Amino acid sequence: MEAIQKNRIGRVLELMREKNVDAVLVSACYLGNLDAWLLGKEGMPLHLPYNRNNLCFVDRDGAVTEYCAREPHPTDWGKFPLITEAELGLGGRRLGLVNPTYLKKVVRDDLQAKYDLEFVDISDEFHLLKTKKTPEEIEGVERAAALFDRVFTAIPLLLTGERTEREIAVALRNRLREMNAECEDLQTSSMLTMTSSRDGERAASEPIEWPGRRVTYGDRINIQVNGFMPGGFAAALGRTYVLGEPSEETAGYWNLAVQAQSLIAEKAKPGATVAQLMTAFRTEILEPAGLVPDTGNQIYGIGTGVFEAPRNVDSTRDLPLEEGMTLVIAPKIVPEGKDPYCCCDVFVVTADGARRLSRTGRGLCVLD
Amino acid sequence: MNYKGKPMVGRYEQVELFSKAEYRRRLDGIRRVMKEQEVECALFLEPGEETYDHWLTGRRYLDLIIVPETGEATGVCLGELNEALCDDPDETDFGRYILQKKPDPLCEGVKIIGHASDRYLAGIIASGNPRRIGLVLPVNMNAFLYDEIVKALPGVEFADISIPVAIFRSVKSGEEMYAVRQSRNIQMKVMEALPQILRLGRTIGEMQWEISNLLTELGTTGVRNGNIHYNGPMDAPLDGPMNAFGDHKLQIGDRISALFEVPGPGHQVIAFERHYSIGEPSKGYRESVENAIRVHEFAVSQMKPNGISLAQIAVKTRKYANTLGLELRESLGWNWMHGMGAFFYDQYSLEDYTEDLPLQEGIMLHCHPLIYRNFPELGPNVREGIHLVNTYRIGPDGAEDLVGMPKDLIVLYA
Repeated sequence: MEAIQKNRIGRVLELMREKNVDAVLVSACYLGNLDAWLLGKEGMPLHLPYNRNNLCFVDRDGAVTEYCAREPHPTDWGKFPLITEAELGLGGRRLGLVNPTYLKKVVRDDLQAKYDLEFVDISDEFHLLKTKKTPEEIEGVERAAALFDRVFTAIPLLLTGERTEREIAVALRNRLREMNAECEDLQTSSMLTMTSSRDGERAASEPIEWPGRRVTYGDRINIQVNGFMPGGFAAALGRTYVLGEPSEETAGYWNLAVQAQSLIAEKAKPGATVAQLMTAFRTEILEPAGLVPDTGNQIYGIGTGVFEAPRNVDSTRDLPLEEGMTLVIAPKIVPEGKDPYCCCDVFVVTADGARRLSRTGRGLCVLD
Repeated sequence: MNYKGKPMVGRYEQVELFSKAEYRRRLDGIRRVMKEQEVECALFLEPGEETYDHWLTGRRYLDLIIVPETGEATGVCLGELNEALCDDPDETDFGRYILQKKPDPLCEGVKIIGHASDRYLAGIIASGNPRRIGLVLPVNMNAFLYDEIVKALPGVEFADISIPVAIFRSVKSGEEMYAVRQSRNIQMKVMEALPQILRLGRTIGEMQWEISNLLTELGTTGVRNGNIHYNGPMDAPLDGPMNAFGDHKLQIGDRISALFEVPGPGHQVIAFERHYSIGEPSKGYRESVENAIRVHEFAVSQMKPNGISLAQIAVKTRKYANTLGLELRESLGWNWMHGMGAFFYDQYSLEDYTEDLPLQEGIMLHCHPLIYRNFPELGPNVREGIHLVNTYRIGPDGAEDLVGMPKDLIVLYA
């Protein structure tokens, strides 16, 4: 991790030179898990939303110090020195801000009064530093993906006995906890998305009454987890399960979901953009099948954060891909009124297209 | 746990225990406070920190709540990405997020929007043209949001309304007390099963996994703090940090404590801790637990709605401990009496902005004064802290125990 961190700080220093800033102050470190990225932390992220008081300060030499913006709240785990009481060694200089919308007024006013600073918003460029991964970082993402593969091997054990969706979610989270993929608030370290419905029938309308939907023979279940794993990296994995013989419709849509992922991966070469990949998905897969595109996140970066640039939901969709970028490719096939079909895996961009890092088979998971 | 007819939150995450009328009661109460404080708009800044987000809107992970004098309140989602890069950062698109799903229609009168730009949020705040804005937790005001508000509302005044808002929220409603009892029931089931879980030869880590899994299965949620601790042998302090003994195998002669403070459905929290002796306890261990209980009971006996404050109770408790020849731990940030309910840390609280308020009927308090056990046979300065945790509701005549479990040392394998 030392080499990884050194490389990251090198990238930050280069950005500081480009933007002509003397230091960088990062607020809302949870956005992209920036404290972990800057400090090469290997543990699980701190739980949200009770640790939003911490800041990372990068000085002109690339040394990173964690501070609190104000007196730590009794529930804050990261109890660092107050930035307003620290000597930052600044004066009449330009300070780069990352996530400036979260900069506390008490901090801004104090820094301005003490150092007569000029604030420079470098947030977008800073977040983009994370897009390209070193070989060591790719290995880290691959390790996280491998841990997700292991967790998903337990899912057939959980989809038995006519459990409710809640019971399945709890059992899966307990499996994740046994893999040490836990922060204090499990929901913010392992973000689970699950649906279930009778195979071939319409999606259940929400909210569902207690105790929730009971998963039974003849159901189709979607399970996707985006989350962190010990080691300092995140991963994602999503599959569809059918209890019993799948309907023809389900077999067909699942094949389409896998085809869509393969198509996107094949085209995810250096120079291509996420926007182009989404267009190919729409024109080559969705439109011929008479399906309407979903507007949610379907292609996005992954690293120390679960949801990094480039991604299809914002302007980074126009960023040319580069070799070494790690992406989640999870195109959604959404038949009207029904639960979606989505094959979700982690990939790395290579000269020949994106190579899948997850190893879980991509066949429809049929359980009997 | 018969929750028949109640909806699930987040499809499968939790049962919703609160009615729309309960959410309305909370919003109406905030508006009464606003009127009393003569503010025309209230801003809850980083409301997740003291769980005002969940309490007021039924939804976690909000950055800001805007409550105008009349009309719909607005909850602003936590940003999950640098949203300035979005084509229209002000457009509410829950498809953007991984953690945050489309809101459930849990309460009326509150609209949930995506993490919009500061200028857009200032526009919402300014739409009622307030002259005075009340701030809850004003230290959390973000610099550029402040600038935009001042730009949109020249001459606007700000007032800190954290205390009156905290006072209102601290008094629990019937629905809130019902949810608190659900949290208590879940945790009590696990606590009562500890004699079966704490088996000789099992490691602390294995037993901890089992407890965590049980608490989740039974319906707890959010920030989980339900732990067993190995506290060392009978007559020596723990040789290392508490969390370094996951591989320790339970054996006769061990001291164990179990501290549960976990939110149940509705995210309502209650907390309690009990001490266990594995095998016959030594005289010193038994006495230390008895002393912790004695000091705890004294503090609790002072909790009455008769004008006394937590700061005053702390002073009296220190004097009482000293009369027993004991020392009470007092250090900045050691909030050993505090509110509980919507979160495992609510106001009122010692060492916080509500420590001088007179206690009032209907609030919940968590109590855990820490005293020291000395080990003179091991050295003049060798000692360890010990406390006992329990939760109370302040009734007309004083503290009512909400846990209902004897506080005495529990002896197993003797």
